[in-house]
Amino acid sequence: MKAFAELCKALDLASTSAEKILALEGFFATASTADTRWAQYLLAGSKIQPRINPAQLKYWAILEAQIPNWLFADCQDLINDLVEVCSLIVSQTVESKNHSLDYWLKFLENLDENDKQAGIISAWREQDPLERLVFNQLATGTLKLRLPPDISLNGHTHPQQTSFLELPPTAKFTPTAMETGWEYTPEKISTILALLVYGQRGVGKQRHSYILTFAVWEGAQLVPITKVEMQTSDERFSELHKWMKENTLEKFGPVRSLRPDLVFELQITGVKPSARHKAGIAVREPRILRQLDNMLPTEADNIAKLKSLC
Amino acid sequence: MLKHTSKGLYCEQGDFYIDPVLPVDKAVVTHAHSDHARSGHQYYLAHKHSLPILRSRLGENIRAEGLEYGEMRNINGIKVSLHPSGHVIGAAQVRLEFKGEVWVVSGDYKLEDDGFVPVFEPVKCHHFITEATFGLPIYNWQPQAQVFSQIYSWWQGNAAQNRTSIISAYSLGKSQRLIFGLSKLRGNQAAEIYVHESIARMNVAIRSQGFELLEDNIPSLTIPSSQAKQSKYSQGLVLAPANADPTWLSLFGDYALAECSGWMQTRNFRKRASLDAGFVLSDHADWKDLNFAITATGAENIYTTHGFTSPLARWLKEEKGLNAVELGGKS
Repeated sequence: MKAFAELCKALDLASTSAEKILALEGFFATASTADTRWAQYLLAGSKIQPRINPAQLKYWAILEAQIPNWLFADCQDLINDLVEVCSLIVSQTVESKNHSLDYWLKFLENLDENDKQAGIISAWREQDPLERLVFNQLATGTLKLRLPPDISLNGHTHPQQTSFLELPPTAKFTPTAMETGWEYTPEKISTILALLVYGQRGVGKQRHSYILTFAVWEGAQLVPITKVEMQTSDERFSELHKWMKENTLEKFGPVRSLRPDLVFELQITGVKPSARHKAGIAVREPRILRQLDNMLPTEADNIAKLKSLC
Repeated sequence: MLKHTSKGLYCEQGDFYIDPVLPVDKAVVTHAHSDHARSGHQYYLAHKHSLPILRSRLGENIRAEGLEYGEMRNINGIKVSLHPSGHVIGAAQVRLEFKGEVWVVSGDYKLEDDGFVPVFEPVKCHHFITEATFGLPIYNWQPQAQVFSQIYSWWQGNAAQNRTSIISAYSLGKSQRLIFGLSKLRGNQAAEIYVHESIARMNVAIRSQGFELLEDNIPSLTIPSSQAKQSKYSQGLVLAPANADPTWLSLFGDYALAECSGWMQTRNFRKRASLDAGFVLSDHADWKDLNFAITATGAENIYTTHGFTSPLARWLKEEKGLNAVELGGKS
């Protein structure tokens, strides 16, 4: 699964569609038929039914790593991702056989109900850290890989998002493995109204993008909640850039603070509490839907609404 | 024997500081990285391999004396010696002995043999002041051979796409380790490896100490000429310092940028750095090696400094039964 894990890492880091496509081409060039189909399914944003829950994952990782709970909590404070902490604190003890993605998904599928712990821990011991992260994300149903809509899977047909069973079977592909509970789990998508408060031009590799910071009300104050990247090639960019230049309050380096006049509708796929963010929450996968020119700044959402989405 | 002061670790009996942060009279310097070796001291004492680097960084006219590993100096009754810390060239732990009591200041260290600098040597002591840069159990390094092969295949993948591979790396330590490790994977050749001029200067200082970098002449790039865009470097691996000017980088045209450091272990740090790739290769000890090194000293009293000092001290105190505190903190 190393190749698939590398793909996940590359997609995670890629800032442009071109880079994502490059990584995808690299993966599909050498992937087996079975792995290709699994990857297509997962890349369509589809999920598989969790086999274990995060609390189990944490408990077993703590046992395997032999560390106290408070030390796990310190790690989690730093990287804010329970599944990743679990993946990093345990060590590989035997050489990786580099089993396929297909192998590990079937492994999860066939996990002994009465002794999931032994199965999961034995898997960890032969995985490298990147493989282990993807494995744990698959096991807990937390892998997120959805591609932007402008990327199609390199000549491969777009898979259906409803069920595995609609994918054409192949010799290596065994749909029966899915019948016992691997199902598509839809994400909860909501929209919020937020004010644009900072703009930052990217430098170096990021020079073709602009980072926009959005805020919502907390009483009479604005509290930043998220950043969204906009490509300078975006058709909405030039007008927005002109507005930003005219409405800059202060400039520090590449960052401009902006008059909080523009309301945007953002799409998000979730909100969760976060001690690391000033607002006390972290929003997931924010996307700009549209600018709402007829709205007053005071009509933007307040933090209480976002917290209610947690 | 040692006190934590605003200027740094101070030895009153010997009247000297170790890695002081403010100008002092006498400074013992563990290694030549800029957060440990600062300018403005009257006298420097360091491992002899650090001297050319200190001079190149702090000026040719500094007053500095070099010691061999294990060579002992008596400073007002304190026996002072330096021992390999495995961090970078010239890096040393400082051992102090006075009336039978032994203190060791680790400086920065790693345990894995990089094949380049002398390996970390555990030194028995009563008091051990340890770095804690990666003092959390999520920092768990893979063997370097695996990391080098990941870096190498990234480079080859970029070359196949005619993209220059650029790695930002410390000019002292990480750069030489990368040159050494990647040359080996190319059959002991450094063909197609290029370095930024600041790294080239460091290589000259290091080569003057008798270290081999496999090739005498790795091309130094000041400003890539307009030829860069004509794909002169499209098969190449370029080592650039972390603070390299984005304009300089953009002259390479199509390139992929990576960083090699322990911080690349976690997703959030990788993403924050806006890179094409991140590889986990560190000149610091990971969690298990910190624990191994601390145990190997046999010390009962541990002081943690730099990095995740608080969790490491608490772990050593509560789980290992050692008298461990954060340096400068309360016991």
